[in-house]
Amino acid sequence: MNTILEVDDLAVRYGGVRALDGVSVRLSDGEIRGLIGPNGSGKSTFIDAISGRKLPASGRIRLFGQEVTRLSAVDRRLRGLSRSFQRTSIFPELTVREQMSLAARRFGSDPGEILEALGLAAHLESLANQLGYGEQRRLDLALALVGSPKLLLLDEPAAGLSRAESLALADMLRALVRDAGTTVCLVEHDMDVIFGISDSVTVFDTGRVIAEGEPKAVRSDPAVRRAYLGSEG
Amino acid sequence: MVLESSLPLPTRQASDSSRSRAARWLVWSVLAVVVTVLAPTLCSARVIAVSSQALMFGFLAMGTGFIHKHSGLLSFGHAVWFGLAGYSVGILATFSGLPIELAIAIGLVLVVALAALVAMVIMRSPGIAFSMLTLAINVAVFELFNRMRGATGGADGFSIALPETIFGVPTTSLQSPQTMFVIMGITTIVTVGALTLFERSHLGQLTLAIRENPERARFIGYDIYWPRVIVFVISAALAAIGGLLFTLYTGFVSPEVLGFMTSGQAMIMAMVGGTAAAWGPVAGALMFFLVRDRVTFLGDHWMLPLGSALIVVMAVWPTGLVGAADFVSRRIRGAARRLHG
Repeated sequence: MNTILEVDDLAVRYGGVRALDGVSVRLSDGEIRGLIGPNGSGKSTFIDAISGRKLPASGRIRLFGQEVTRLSAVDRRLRGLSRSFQRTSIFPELTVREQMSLAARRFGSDPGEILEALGLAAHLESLANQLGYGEQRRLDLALALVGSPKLLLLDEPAAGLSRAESLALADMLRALVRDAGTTVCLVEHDMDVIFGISDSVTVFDTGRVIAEGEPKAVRSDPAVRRAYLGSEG
Repeated sequence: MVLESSLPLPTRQASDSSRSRAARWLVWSVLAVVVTVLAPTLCSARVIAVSSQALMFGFLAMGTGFIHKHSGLLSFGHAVWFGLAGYSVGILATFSGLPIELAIAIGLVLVVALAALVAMVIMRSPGIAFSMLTLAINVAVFELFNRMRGATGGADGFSIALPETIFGVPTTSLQSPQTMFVIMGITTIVTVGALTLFERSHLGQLTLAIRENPERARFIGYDIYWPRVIVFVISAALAAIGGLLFTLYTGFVSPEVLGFMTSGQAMIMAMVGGTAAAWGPVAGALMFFLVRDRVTFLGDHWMLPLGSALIVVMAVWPTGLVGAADFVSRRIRGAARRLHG
């Protein structure tokens, strides 16, 4: 499989704090990569740096074979990298139709299929702030899916969802990879979701990668169990 | 969600069908045109004169309201564009010998170009920094025009040498309150319609989206800087149109029109009227001028009742007249629906 994302020796600082330090990660075309680690370990910062929300202090990011380290978030989005957010990020005072049309127009695509797949087609004329929490999370994901991104970064997509909604989300992500060939990289605290759907898992701790590999191997890694999984493992 | 302003932003209800919306708009537009044409024969000359001026300043208020609605930003300096339009046309018409029509065209282009340059710098600044910058620019421009006696007449201002006709219309007619009221009324109706169409356009939706959540707008692939610049330029152009018409109407320009007090008053008009709909600031301007006309006995203290009214509006009905009208209209429509089963 082709490598679509190459991250080398990435460092991100917040003031004097090194949120990421010497992180190197490779993502292959069509894989689902799970990112896990304790709170503050650097998972979301990693997503922010890859997506262009936060510029790194040093290191290099290559996306689809091209250097994007200093490119803006907009440029990366137009090149096929999309993301959702830990806190729901939608347009509260626009209807579902208005915001999806706005996003779709940028990519010349039809949002109908996404809305159907995410169960939002019945809410087209609703203002986003009138939707329930689960629907708002799905709208956030729908906005990220417009334009058929080649790499999708998801920051805790199952946060606040019910068990059934989390499982449905996992199914949807599997279908996305299978049908559209999208590569997915997701941060998630729900271990059932992460180990259930990921092809490989990267474990962060204090801004560094401490383990990486197939879910089974990562799960039994003593360093990972010590740092994060604990009794869950 | 990132909101730039702590003042109430427009809120929306789920949209009606576009056909019923268009029909409603058509009815209101026709009604507004009829009222505009009939008002000079039905109202006293004083009310018409005050309302004419209110509609001119209504453009300034529309500019202030437009930028608030489409970027969430509060401008405390839009009188600059109102006054600069008057000064540039006045200076060009009086001192350059250009035909007035050309002076108007060049004057407006100059003001819009300057607004674009300013926007390219200050639209990068977030909320409070933006507001402070607009205030600082306003104070600086006021001081500049107040002190340049040679070109601007300083604090006294200057009378503009207007020809007998402007665009074929006799200048005396333009300076008659009755004629100007009709011109201003029609211009306002057309402008409100244009701004409403803008809101429904792709760019209008994008600017609203950027106001709502600039980060998400970037992550659906949109640059957020240029749409913000365009919003500023449109808002400045609205203020400039008002300033131009006010200058032609009075044949006079002075630093007062670009003072920050004028900007503050425009902000009051916009907030009292409400910025959720384009007509809100115009309604606010009409209310402002008509109330002010009723409290002239207070002399220099005429701002006291207006300030008090503003406090009441912001506390009781922060979405202004637009919010109140929307509330009443929804109640009426709800009652009508219940009546029809």
